[in-house]
Amino acid sequence: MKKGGFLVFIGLLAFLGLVFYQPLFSVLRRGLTEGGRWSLSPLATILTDSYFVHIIVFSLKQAALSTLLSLGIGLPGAYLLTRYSFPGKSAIRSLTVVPFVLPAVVVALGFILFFGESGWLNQWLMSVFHLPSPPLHILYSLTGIVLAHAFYNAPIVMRLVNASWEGIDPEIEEAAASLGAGGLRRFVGITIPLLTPALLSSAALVFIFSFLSFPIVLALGGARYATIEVGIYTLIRTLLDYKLGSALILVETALSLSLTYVYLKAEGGFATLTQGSRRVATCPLFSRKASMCKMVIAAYIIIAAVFFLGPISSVLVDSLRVRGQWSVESYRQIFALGYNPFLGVSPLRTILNSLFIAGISTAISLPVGIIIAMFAVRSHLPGRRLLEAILMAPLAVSSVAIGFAVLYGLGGAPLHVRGTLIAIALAHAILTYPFVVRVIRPVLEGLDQSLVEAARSLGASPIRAFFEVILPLIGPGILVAAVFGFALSIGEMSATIMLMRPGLGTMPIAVYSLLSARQFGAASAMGMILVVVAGIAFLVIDRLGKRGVGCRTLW
Amino acid sequence: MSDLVVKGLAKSFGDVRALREISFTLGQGEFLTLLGPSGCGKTTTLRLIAGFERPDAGRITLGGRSIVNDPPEDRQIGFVFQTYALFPHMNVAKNIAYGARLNRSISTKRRVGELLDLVDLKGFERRKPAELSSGQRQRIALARALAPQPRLLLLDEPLSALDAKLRESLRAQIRHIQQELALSTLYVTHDQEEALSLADRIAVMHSGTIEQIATPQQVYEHPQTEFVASFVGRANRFSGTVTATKDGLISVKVGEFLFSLIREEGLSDDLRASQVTPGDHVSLFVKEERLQLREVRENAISAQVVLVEYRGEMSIVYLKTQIGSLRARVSTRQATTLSTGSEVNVSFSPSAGLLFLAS
Repeated sequence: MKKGGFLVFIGLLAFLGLVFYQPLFSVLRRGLTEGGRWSLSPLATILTDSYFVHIIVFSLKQAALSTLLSLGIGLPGAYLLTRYSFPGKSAIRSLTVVPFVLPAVVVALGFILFFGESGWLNQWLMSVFHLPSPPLHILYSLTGIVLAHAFYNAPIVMRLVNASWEGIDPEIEEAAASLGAGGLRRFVGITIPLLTPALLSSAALVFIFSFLSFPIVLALGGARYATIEVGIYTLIRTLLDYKLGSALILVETALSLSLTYVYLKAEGGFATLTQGSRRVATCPLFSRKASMCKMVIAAYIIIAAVFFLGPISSVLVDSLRVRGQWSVESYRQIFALGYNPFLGVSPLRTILNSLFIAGISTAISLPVGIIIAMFAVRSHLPGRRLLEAILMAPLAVSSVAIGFAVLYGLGGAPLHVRGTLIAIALAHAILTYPFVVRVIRPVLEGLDQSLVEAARSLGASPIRAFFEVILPLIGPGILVAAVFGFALSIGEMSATIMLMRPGLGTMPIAVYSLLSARQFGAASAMGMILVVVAGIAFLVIDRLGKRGVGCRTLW
Repeated sequence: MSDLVVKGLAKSFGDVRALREISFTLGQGEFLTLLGPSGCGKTTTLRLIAGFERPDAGRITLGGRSIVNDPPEDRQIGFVFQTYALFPHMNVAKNIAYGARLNRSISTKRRVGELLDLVDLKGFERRKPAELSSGQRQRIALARALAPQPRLLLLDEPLSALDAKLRESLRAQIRHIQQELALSTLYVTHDQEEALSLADRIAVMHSGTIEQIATPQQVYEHPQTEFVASFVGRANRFSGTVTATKDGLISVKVGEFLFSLIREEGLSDDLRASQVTPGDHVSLFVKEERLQLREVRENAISAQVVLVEYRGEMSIVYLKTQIGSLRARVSTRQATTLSTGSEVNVSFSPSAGLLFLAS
């Protein structure tokens, strides 16, 4: 690394130390002190109290069930995407990115509107089968939480497993066939072992996401079902018990770090597999020949379509209906300047707050992410793998914990940001920069170093070569990273809610407040704005991704 | 007049000594090939001359002026990359114009036309690199390197990613263009056939040093070192001991057999300068096409045919003898009379053997 680059990197470490590592350590230390002294008693309280043990066990249990259901829904989809061709296949493959930019609180809202007691599904079932009462009781239960997590995570399983499956060289299976292995033996003996790293890493990833999920559990769990994340939120924001809250964060972080370690191990086995010279042959899904198999596939597609499209369509429809009539009244409410009693501010203020926060957050996370990606690709320092892992740590720390770290450890001197939108933006920047790294890194890795050399041997100075060759090639990747970071910030609710003060509300907080107050029309209208932002982000990511940059490794 | 002078070039990457001591000169308009196995330092040599790396020691002068401290953009040296390195976001015309545009003395538009003409790709101006075949990409890469009218052209294994037929036709095209422009050219390859057919002179490289630098014919027929003898062409190698030197002949004992060689033909320069004396351990090389199967002359060995490999006009005969396995290249007409397992006598003329002192 050159001298200038080294200085920039040291500056980055100092910045992250100030806004992330030091605050996080002070929170973890708070969980290990009692009356100003080192003590294990807060930790002992957490690990012996039956309520806390219950929420820890429940967190793990719901994550395990969510992982199983996500695999159950995602794997058939991966199989269909790999082995069949059908119209809209590439669109479906692209759409599997959507959960990453779709705010969780909107999914929770969609679930309430679609699966709720008086939701669209129950109403439809009642009218079709002439039932006197709603047949489905999914919400405010473990089932609702697990279903919503599967909505979120099944597409991830589908995408990762499909990518790995298509990467298997068909010649390997052909070799097995020529050696006498039949279809089932090939599947069990060849395909499954080759897919194992993808299965393990996607399962580990889904487990981590479900374990750390906050808005969905908060909105769909009701009073009875709390996970560690909800427990931390309640301890800190409602009971103001920083000591036990910090101890619970300590327990959670220890668990999530171990889970992340498992994930990185599994992901490591991934890369070696994708060396297919030829693509897997596909057969058309829709042909005249009907078969039992086709029926099962058709049933899967219908159920999946209802499951994935139902909640989102419900948000759209409810945003446009007021007391049984089509109307844009809800949108008028949302863009109003006046004080809203459920929000504590005007709805328009929350929109402006979100845009301001996302702008600042992106302006920080983009350079931070680019510098780390360049370090990861270019540096030859000893111990750089470890340093890289430490730099990606926000991925393994929960959003609620990061929100509290910024609140507790950063608020005062020297930054004086406590109780400002800047504090929220800083938390968002910490949460999103690892994703910027993951988008930019493959772009930099794919950049042929000899392009720069070619430009220079043709007479271009280093600066010219950067602006005329490098920038046009990585520019789209940087744009994808910026849009991705912006969308993540717009939809972020967990860290935001920890840093909330009157007047600092954002759009996701507004959706949550409105749905808590059962103002579903206004919640849906606000939710639709978030859906539109997510949709624009998706289009940018997808369009530019197709031009050979960007998001092959979003996670 | 020599154009490029390289003297005492050395370069290490960490613990790896890529170049130990490289010195050579390249005349105006000359075509010199650096030939060697992978890892011998030939690409490093090229990159040092282009200015992509800095040498640890040594001098590089071009037209009498040292260029070691110049950045690549000031050297006026064209470079053709193995992987083409065409700018993927620019079309063909823009790729070619890139260098010409930076050199103000050149009319860009005319130059692009001329060069596309030169590489036979008129009408491809608006194509993107991704829309070209690999052979077309390589020709565009050549045109782009020529556009700023470089003083020296460097080519780094430019044909290694292409299939055999295309390689041969592009090879001829490169040579033709180079001669037409009378452009001093340095060409790196690991393919000896490419080196022998293209170059005015060949520098054979091995672990960071130049083993021999001479015309293709000299390198092929009079290799100076054991490495060159084994790397260029295909030769059978025997280990033996010198038993006598008299009347212009050297006798070498290999196993049970006693071979005699003509002194003047059979000695490398090294050996000629020193003296071979009875008792010296030597390596004896006989090229596969110099082994005779038809009539028994001097230096005969009885052998068994293991395999006959048809190669069109010529055939390769694999033989088993008491002193090891041999390969002979004979006309197919002669090879058809041989059947697997049959006994033959192999021989070679006293002028066909080459001796090196065993290290």
